[in-house]
Amino acid sequence: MQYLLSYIFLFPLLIAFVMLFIPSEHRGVFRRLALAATSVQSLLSGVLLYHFDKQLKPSSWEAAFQFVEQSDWINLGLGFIGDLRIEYYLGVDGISLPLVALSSLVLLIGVISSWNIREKVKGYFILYLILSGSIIGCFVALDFFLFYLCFEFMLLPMFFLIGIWGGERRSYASIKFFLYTLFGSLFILIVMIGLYMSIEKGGINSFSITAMLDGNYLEDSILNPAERGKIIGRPARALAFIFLLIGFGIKLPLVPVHTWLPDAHVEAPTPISVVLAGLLLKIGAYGLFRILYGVFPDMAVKYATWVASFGVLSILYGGLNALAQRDLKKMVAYSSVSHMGFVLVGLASLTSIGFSGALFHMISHGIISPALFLLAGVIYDRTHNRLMDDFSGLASKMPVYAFFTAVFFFAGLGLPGLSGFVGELMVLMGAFSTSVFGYWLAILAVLGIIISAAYFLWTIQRMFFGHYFVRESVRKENMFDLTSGEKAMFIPLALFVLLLGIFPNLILNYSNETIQFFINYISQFRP
Amino acid sequence: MSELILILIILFLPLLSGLVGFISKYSSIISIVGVSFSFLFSLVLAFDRKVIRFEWLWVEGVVFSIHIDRISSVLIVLVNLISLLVLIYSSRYMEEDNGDKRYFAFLGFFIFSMLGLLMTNHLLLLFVFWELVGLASYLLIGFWYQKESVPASARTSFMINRIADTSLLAGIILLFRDGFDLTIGSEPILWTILPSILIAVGAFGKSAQLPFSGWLLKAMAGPTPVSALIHAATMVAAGVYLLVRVSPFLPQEVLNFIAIIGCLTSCYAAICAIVRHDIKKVLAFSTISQLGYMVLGIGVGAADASLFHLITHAFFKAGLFLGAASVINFMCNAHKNDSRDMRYMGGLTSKLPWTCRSFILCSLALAGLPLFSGFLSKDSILLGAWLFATKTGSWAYIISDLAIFTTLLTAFYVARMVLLVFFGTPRTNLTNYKYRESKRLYFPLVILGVFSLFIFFNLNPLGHSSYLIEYMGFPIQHLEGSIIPFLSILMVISGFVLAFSWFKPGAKYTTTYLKNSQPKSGLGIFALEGFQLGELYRRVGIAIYKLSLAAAYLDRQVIDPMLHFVSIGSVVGSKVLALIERFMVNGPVNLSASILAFLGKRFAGLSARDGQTQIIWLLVMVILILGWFIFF
Repeated sequence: MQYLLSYIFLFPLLIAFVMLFIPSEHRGVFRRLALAATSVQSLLSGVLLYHFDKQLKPSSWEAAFQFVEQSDWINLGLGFIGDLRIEYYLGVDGISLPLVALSSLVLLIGVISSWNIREKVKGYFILYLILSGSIIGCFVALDFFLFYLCFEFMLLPMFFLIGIWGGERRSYASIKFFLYTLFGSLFILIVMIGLYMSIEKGGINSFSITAMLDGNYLEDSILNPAERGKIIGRPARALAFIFLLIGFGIKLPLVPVHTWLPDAHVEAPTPISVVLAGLLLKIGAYGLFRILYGVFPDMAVKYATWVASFGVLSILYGGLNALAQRDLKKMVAYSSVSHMGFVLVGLASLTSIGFSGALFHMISHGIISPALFLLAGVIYDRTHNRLMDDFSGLASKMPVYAFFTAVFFFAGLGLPGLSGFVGELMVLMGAFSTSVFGYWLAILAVLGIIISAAYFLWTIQRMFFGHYFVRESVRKENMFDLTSGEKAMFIPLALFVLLLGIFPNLILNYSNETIQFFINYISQFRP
Repeated sequence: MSELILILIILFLPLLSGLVGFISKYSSIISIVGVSFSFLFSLVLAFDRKVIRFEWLWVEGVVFSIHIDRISSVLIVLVNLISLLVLIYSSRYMEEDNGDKRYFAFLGFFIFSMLGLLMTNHLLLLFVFWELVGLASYLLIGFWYQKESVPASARTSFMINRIADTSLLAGIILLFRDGFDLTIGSEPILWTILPSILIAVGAFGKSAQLPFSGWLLKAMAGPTPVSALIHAATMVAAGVYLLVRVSPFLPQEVLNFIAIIGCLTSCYAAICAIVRHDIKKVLAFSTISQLGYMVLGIGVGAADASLFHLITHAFFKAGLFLGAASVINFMCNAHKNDSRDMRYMGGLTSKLPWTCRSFILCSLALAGLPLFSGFLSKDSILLGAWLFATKTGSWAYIISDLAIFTTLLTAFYVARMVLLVFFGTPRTNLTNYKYRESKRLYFPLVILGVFSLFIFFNLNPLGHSSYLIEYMGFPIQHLEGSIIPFLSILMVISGFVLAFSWFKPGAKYTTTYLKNSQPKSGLGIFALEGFQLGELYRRVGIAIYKLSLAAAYLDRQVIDPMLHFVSIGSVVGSKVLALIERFMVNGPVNLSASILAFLGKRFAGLSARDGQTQIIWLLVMVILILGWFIFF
């Protein structure tokens, strides 16, 4: 039990290492091993959920984390600069735990949907497992350096997975994705160094996130709130806040730095789109939750209106773009932009219901958007075409497919009873009742609900209703309904969507205490 | 605890029977059995006379509650009863359709959501079911999704509902923000203006009031029994139900607003109903008009009258729609062209005797003739409006008068419809199709027709309330001796007379009118188009779509190119640097090297020549050096 997080984090990496020694002729072995690895990961996450103490009322951030593992990792003397002290420091609280559970679920689904990968199987699954290890690492790391390492390390497998197994414009998309996120990471790196210079733990500089959250600043340090340190005439903490917002905002993604997303999502192979939409975006949101809002609550209060405005912009702009798309996968990609805007608005509200809503919306979108990409993948697998206008009346040809599409589309447009509604509702309740920004922003955010209904319904109308019809240019010999393997992916996702929509407390029970503590902690910075 | 189980059975039985029916062979029978049990249990609930409450924590800060008082229990019985009748009718009507399993599953889902809506008094939980009935309506409107224009109708009606629903949601959240309890029914505290208006607008959407009324016409694309259940008797009344529930909390200004919208809608829809030829559209407009009456009743403070009208209307309107379904079904087989157009009908009395009888009973109730249920309930609304006018004065009199005048319009279009459909001789050549009115088709019709009589609601045919309303806990008002009932009877009779004089079988006007199908006057055309509401929706939709195209343009042509500009710029910059590197940094180095090489080559020749030349060069150098020393 003590090293549970390490097992979840490192087990896929270990299996990837083992795979290196298996000759690539044994093609069938790799996917089975990957399935085994992600299944074990999911089981361990289940154990983690079971043993997590939901009632724990933390007194400080240091005490808020459970399953903590802490040991020295790198200690380097750096001459006159001081020491470099990096720890191997893991732990989960009510915010990261649901995300760990979500990750193991989505990664498992991703392996199942990779079952039909035919080319370069060995390389694919090794990269996939490296990716899955680093995703989990991001959510459990409590040392900023370790977090940053995992955060960057995801780019590498992602770059190759899109660039080698992707669609027609894969090289363009993968380079764009890589450069965009690398650019964002630089901003995070700068702030990370600044924080290391300013934070102490036991008298020594430290990367410890808990020390940052608890505000253990060194005297005379640049980011110490009491010092009002300035960089080229600007308050250092404000700059750090903006840098982190850009850095994590690119990952989120935030309009106007979102343009990597449609290309990467569209060109990536289906399982990678699933992981990308389901988890990578959530890492951006998690970074905002943990680092941006946890370490800079004073700035969060100060810039609430701006952050919320960007959130609302993402909601409306992403929604309108989704309405204009003709490619099914692109429509889904832009709907992700729109939905992640709700997360940002919920965060910016700085209320406990808004925070819970943002977290819940992350989980719910983490289930819905993988399902939507799988749905787009189904039609692409069969016809090598995803243009909405090339299809019509699919409901009569592929009724089961139409059924699942309807379920996830309605979940996406926020139908009550499915999980999408709960997150949006709580975020809006937070946004309307907060005092840090005016409720005109919340009213604009409400309009996003109408737009999302418009693009999902219009897509249903165009692709699934009407007479059965497929454009001449489309391969149509393979138009069969869902196979049992595909059903095996959609049924659990649909059940989760329904279950969480009816009993949101299944997730929120884990996070309530942490978020309550978080909000109380922030409230001391409010004017 | 046993009560909770009872409620859960009532709630889930229709849904479960629908789902079980979907995977079994006998979908219609299973659905009918399930809903009958639900109906029986709801009778038990209604006679129990207790208030039942259950609560559970949904998310932190939101406690959902199930709350069943007498109003809900009566309405639950009503919904179950009408659903049962419609299911029985549908079991025959949909027999030949191969999507009938899906049909009964959707209907089961609808009944479940509608019952859920009636069982809660928490605004958010109500909103949950509110959206679910909207979804059921969307699915059933789009039931024949392969037909032309059906998908677009389904989408339009869902979108219009969605816009109104968003207003409702915003209203609920604003109430939460202002610190009000989201559970209705505790002590009446007046709500603030903005959330009240937003909630009222949300109710207007579901109940098809102006400016949302157009979706109900689109909804007519669905199967007709669905229109009877969802778009006449139950779902569209949900908005009225919500307003009845929240009316004690609404400030007076908002109530006035509600009264005005209700009155305008009822008059507007009645005018539109007069010029329409499509029998379903006439009935749809008539539904909008009657819902307008109910909304008016709430606005003028006669919520009990509205509730009463809701109940009576549910019976007679469901009867009218089911009757129309029989007529359409008959026309569909006997005359292939246009089965819904009343101009092609006429003289159907002999072909559809049972349908005709019950249809006429229901029509008279709709027109508001004494001895029928519609008279009782409509009269109480008119009375409420009149009382309101005497209290408020000025503009309220206009409202009250307009409402009374609308009864004339109502009587007119009702009589026109009945005359055109059933009387006279057939106006087109009908094939020899023999329509068999099977028991399953006319049994529900007869029941609904009989329930249009006054006797089930009040023993006094000229009264203006009902024991049902008393049972629900509203105080009975005694207002004998008012002029209003006589005025409304006068209006109904003059409406009938006018209609008879124009549409009497064989009258000259009828034949010319039917030949020149389009109305000529401006108002007529305007009314036929539904006062351009459809055009309004279309323009809004196009505007939003254009906005989205602009956003896409911005994304692809401005934001992305900026990024490309940066990346191209960096590549160009690096190329320029490479050029500089090549010519300006590396260039001089190479230049000096090549100069040296050139010189070296030139001077290398010196040593290669013969001895004489070398000696001459030596002499030249010596002279030069000596010259240097001498002259400088």
